[in-house]
Amino acid sequence: MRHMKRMATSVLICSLLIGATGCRTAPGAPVKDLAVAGSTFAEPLYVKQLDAWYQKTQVKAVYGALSSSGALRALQDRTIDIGATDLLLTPEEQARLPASVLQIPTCLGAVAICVNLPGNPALRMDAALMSAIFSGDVKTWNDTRIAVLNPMVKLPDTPVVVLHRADGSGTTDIFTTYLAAADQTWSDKVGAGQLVAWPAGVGVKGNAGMAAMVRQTTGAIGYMEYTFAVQSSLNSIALRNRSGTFVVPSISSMQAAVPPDVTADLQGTLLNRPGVASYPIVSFTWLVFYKDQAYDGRSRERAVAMYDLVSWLLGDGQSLALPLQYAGLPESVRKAAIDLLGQLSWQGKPVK
Amino acid sequence: MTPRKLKNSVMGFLVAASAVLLIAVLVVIVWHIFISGVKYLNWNFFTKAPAPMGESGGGVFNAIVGTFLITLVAAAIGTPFGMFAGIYVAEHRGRRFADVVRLCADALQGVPSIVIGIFGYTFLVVRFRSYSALSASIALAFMFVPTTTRVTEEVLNLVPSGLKEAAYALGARQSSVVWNVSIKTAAAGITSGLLTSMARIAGETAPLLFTAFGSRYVEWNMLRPMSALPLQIFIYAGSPYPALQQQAWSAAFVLVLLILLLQYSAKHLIARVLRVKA
Repeated sequence: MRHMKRMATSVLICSLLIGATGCRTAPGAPVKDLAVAGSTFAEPLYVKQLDAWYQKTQVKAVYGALSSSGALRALQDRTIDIGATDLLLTPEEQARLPASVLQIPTCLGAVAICVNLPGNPALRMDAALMSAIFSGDVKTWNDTRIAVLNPMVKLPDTPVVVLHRADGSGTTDIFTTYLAAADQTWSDKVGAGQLVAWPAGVGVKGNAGMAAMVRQTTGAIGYMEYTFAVQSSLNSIALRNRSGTFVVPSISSMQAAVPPDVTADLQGTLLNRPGVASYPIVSFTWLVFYKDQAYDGRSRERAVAMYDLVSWLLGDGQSLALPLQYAGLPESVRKAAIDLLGQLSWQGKPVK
Repeated sequence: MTPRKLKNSVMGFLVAASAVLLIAVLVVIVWHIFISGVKYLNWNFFTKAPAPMGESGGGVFNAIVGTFLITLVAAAIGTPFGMFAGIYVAEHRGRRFADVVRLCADALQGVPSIVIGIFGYTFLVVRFRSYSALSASIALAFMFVPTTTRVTEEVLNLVPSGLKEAAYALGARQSSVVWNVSIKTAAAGITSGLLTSMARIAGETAPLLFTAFGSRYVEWNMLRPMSALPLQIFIYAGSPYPALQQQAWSAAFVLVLLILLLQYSAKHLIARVLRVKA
């Protein structure tokens, strides 16, 4: 009998343990937790910004660096509040989601092309050459096609090791979209997307994995978000832009790529923009969430918490971009983004 | 040397070499983790949440809290199921349904943890529309139950049948024999089984990737995303920042220490059981 009692007590304790965790926040109370997930491209920035937001408001917004395609999946499953992607969702991708979404740019990033060669020469390339290299047509670094663009550099006969991303990646999407737009051969042979059928090379995972692999491999060439190149002390190649000048990625060459007349819906591409100073592989990175937040019984307070966070990211949060080698939004884009955020609604009524 | 003697010495050498290799692998792993991890250990590492990427300082308190909460709740959920199933199987040896239960426990044990993770994502995370530590605990409980069942059964089978028969001869009911004789005799063994199972799930990463999600904040609410040591190691080891890679080693050191400690206490308890029996 005594043992039955003891058993009953332990069962009670177990259920209490589980039950205690089951208390949801009371209705009407401000929401103190949000889940954001997606892009590894913008991860260092978002982590820093969300941490600063936590210091300010005690709202625990977690960031999961799943990948841009992971963000789409999680949005589809409605398991996160906000997704982070590196390119605008295509109409087909939007059609897969159960409701319409808002896509809000938060900062500018660039894809850097990095090479590991003895002596770290400053190399120059154009889209046709990169297309040939990433197609596996260029076997060694002293190939004439490289030499033509780099007459001042003494090129070694090291074999070229092409690295590309193995996971569904927004960075890959930006890079291949650029190549397909700038080089007809690439467009015909490979195309663009988060995952493409690479004609050559070795696959690695994540921007971090790419940076590490380039550092380790002599003769390697790979593409990664600019921050990762800087953090890993890798030299970025100067790319020939549409105006014919060779430009390395930097905050100012990213900002130069943003046209002064960005449309209010922010649909224009930043890839391969004209202008002597613009770096050709530049992209906004985006936050994506459902336009009307009254789905799955979600509270209005949650929508308010989201609104507050995103509007801070577009306001004071912008100052955190520069120290991490991201470019903040140009003023015209920032205004347009804030207007767009105004469409966030709950049961059809604007949140704020 | 005769062929038989030659064979003997060759086999003897192989056996000894394998034994040495086994020890060497463990020593190399533990030693490497110790050397790489211990130099970055400091008070902040145990008491602070992570600093933003690229900044120095910060710790893994969030992950330590998460590992304890997630593992304990998983054990709390899994223990009754695992133990009761184990008692059932041990008490009804030879019955067809008991064999089916044992078979299922073995099969469940063989399910790869990544599959358990996807299961947790599909049936818990998507259903409740949120990543949470509780869904991680439930997923881990699915790994905890079969090991507990099998260990409970095996330990109960070690209870001398003479003891149980004596109790029956005194007129005790089955429930009384199970609780007062079998369980009591095997208590230390069952506890050591529970500890071993906990050690096993504490080191799991795959189910957590899909369920616990990870959080950089110290989180006590089981309904929210939470971090855990294996998850934090996975994320840190792949980060471009040297400071985080170093912390991954330290976190690995803490995790290995925790698991070795659990396993050592389990072994210690088993040793006590065997001494009592002798």
